[in-house]
Amino acid sequence: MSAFRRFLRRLVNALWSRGDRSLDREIAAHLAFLEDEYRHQGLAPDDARRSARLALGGVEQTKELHRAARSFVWIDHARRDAIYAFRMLRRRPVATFTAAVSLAVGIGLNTAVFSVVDWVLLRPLPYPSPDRLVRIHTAGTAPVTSPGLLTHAEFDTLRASTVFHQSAGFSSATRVIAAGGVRPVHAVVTRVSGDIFGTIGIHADIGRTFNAEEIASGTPVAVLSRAVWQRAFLADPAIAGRIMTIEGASYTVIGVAAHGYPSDSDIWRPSASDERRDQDRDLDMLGRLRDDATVSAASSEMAALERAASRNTRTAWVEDVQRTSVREVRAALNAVFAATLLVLGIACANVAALLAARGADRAGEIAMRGALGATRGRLAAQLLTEGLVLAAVGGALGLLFGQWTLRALLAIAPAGVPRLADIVLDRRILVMAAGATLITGLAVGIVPALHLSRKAFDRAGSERVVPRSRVRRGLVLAQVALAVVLTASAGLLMRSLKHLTAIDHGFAPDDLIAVDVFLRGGFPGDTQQLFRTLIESTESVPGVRRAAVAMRLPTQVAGIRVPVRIVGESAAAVPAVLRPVSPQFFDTVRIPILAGRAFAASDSRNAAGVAIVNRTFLRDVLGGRAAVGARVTTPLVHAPGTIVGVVGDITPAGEAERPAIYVPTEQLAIGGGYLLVSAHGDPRAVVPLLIERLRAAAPALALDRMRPVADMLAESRALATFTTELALVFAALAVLLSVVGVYGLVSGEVAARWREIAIRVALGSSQHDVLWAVIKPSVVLLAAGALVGAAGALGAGRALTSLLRGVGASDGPTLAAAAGLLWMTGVAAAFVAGSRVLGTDPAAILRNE
Amino acid sequence: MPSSGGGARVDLLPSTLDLIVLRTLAVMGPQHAYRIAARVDQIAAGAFTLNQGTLYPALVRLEQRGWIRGAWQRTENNREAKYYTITKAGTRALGEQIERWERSAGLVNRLLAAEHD
Repeated sequence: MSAFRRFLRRLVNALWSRGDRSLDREIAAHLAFLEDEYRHQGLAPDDARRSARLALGGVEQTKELHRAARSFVWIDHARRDAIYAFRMLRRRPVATFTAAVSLAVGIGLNTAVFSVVDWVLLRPLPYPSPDRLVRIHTAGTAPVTSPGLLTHAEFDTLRASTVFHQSAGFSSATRVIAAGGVRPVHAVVTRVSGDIFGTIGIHADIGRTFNAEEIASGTPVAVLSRAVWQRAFLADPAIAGRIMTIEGASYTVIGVAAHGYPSDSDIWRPSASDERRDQDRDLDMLGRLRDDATVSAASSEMAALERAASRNTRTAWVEDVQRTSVREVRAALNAVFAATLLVLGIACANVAALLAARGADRAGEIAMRGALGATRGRLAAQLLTEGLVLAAVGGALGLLFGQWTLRALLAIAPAGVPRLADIVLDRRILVMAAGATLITGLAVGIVPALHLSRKAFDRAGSERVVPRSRVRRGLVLAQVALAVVLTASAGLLMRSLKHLTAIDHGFAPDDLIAVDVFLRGGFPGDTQQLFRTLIESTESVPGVRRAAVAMRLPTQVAGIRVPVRIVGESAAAVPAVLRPVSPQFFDTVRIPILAGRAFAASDSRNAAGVAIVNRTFLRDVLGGRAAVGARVTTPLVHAPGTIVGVVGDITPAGEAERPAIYVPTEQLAIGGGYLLVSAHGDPRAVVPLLIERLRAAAPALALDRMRPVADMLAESRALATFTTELALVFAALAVLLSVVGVYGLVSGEVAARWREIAIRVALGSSQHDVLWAVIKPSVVLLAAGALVGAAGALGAGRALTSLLRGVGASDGPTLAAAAGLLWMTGVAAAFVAGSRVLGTDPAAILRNE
Repeated sequence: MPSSGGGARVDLLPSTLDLIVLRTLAVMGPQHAYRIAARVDQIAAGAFTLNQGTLYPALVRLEQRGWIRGAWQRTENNREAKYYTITKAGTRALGEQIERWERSAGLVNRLLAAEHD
């Protein structure tokens, strides 16, 4: 108790020192008593006073002992250092402002980007023991294929493994849902085999999730996500038991779950028994590993099971579920985070150089304090404190800046990055920001502390001019090199984005709107008649140029693959993508007809079968032989069709097109797809009237997905755009910060060599010789920094490879441009700083010395 | 000050200074720092000389623990001095300290006696 009481007192004294006034009084009294005593013993007054002090053991020493017992001296020191540091910083407001803002930018960017990285990549998913959750992938081994989905049979094989505590297969698709009082809307519906909610360990917020019986027999029941419950069902509290339809089939809602899997799913339902019997490779698999099973052990077991079941033609493995969900964004986010660390590094180098320069100016003061008895450790601590105080100011500003940056980041972030909506600056982020501030403070403080304490003690106040800016030069070199790395990386990303933007899509997306028309089950009648009606209604809207229906968007290269045989040739069937389209499709999306003709209204249900192939089909399947007139058969089309035309390839993302065969929807009925509308001018202008006409024509149609095709293409580039925009901002900051650094270095050098410059001028050097003499070291230094940076940029480019399209990781022109840019801006900054020497009057300077 | 002669000088253990101060105040009543120092010198009788300044950390320690309390007063010849008084908690603590001291001193003595056997 008394020990704690003493601790508190010491702490209070350390933080709010009331000084030594009472102690001074007490010591004075004590000395008076001692003096009295010694005088009494017969000493002369002077001797008595001296003896009194000796008996006490020194006034200052006593005070020091008292202070040590009274408070925590180190806190006291730190407090005084901090106050002193504040005073020093206030005395140079411009330099302090520059330094604090540099650090604020560095720390702020880091805070904002770390928030995103943390929430997206690092934080565990909102399920119990998320580290036990894995996704199961399969791939062909003979021939090798890219990772893919599972068939239901494969799922049944793999789920039997003992490595899983529980597992589930699932398959998500966009479907039209409706309910009494709910206008038909699109929603992501996931059909599940196995207990997916049990696997992730999530209970329903309202009602319940599936029971074993429902899963086993495929009962038509549904669990809603919280989002769709709010969006489509207006958060109906009595939702459990309501009937809804998914593409016309009725389901009973049994519950609402806040966190389902996959997280973008709106509705879950058990797979029906026929869905569990098909051969389609359309199943994803999620498993919860048993506590004693490792990811690698599970992977080898999956591989063994899959190989055994497939006679060694396929393999399987497991992957941490979080890794799977962030696979697409991981590289980009890591690159962005690395870039912010580089910016922070540059800011630190800047501020450290600034403090070192200030320290150099203060060498006299430091030497004086050393001579007065301050220990080397105390002086170093003081310089370190200055760094920390500066970083604390920068960190506080940085937090404000970071909050603003985070908002900006989230505003421009691409859709499809998981968990972005959850991001807030919480305690974890604040702790990280505080950590960054502390490290920054130590980093910027340690350089002058080490540098100066040694120097102060070596030179103790001597006037000798030594090459004292070596540390600063090193820092500026590092800064320029880092800036080159950032600029070159931004350049590579920019060229890659430019490549993506300049791609020839093979069709004209700009005046197109796509309307999702999923009809499956919803329209028992004649879908072909419905499509005709929709197209007619659409073309009646003023401003619409042309309309068509297609099973897939022209932004989707993949589709149903079918074997195609050329009639009269013995060659084996060749796989091609089957693309059912309405007659005006090619004109609507502006795919060029290269030979023959487009489909016509005469290619009706009862007319002779026709087909159109793309250029890749012509090249790869027909080997360039005349296509028009050839007859082809595919399993889905009953009678052989005659090829009536050849059209251009579609390459929405610049990838290689596959052989494709187009057939008219009149001859191959489709259950749903997209209504493509080409407008004169801005396609958005026709939307309101379009909705009205379509709703009148088909009231049961869900019209909540109607988007310009150009927006979809932009979205596919969103991650690249996002990364590139950030990289450009960071590169600009890096260039700015290094310009400030170079300017500071040269200014410092000019100040230090003022006298030498004056003498040179007095001895007849021309002004320009002097200017050159001042900036020459920096010009050389900048060249070295640019070279080091270019070498670093080679490494950075290699790390960015997975993000680059259409540009090499070690693209020479980009590297050279980045290095050149930094060198030139640096030289310009050096020139501006150095030009102060022009027009100097040597006599005036030397007189002042 | 006269030396008692012959006896080797000893160093004072830091915690014993606290004990001595408490004991002095308990026996002699309120005292200022100089009087406490004089009393310690008197008892030590040359076995050690106290750097009187070292008394101050002990006084701060005891005051912060709440075992003594200081107040400014006038001496009989009308000088001002800070008089320290032992508190109730201080008296209790003194009892505990003495007991602990005797126990450890007894232990050391017994050990030394055993060594001699």
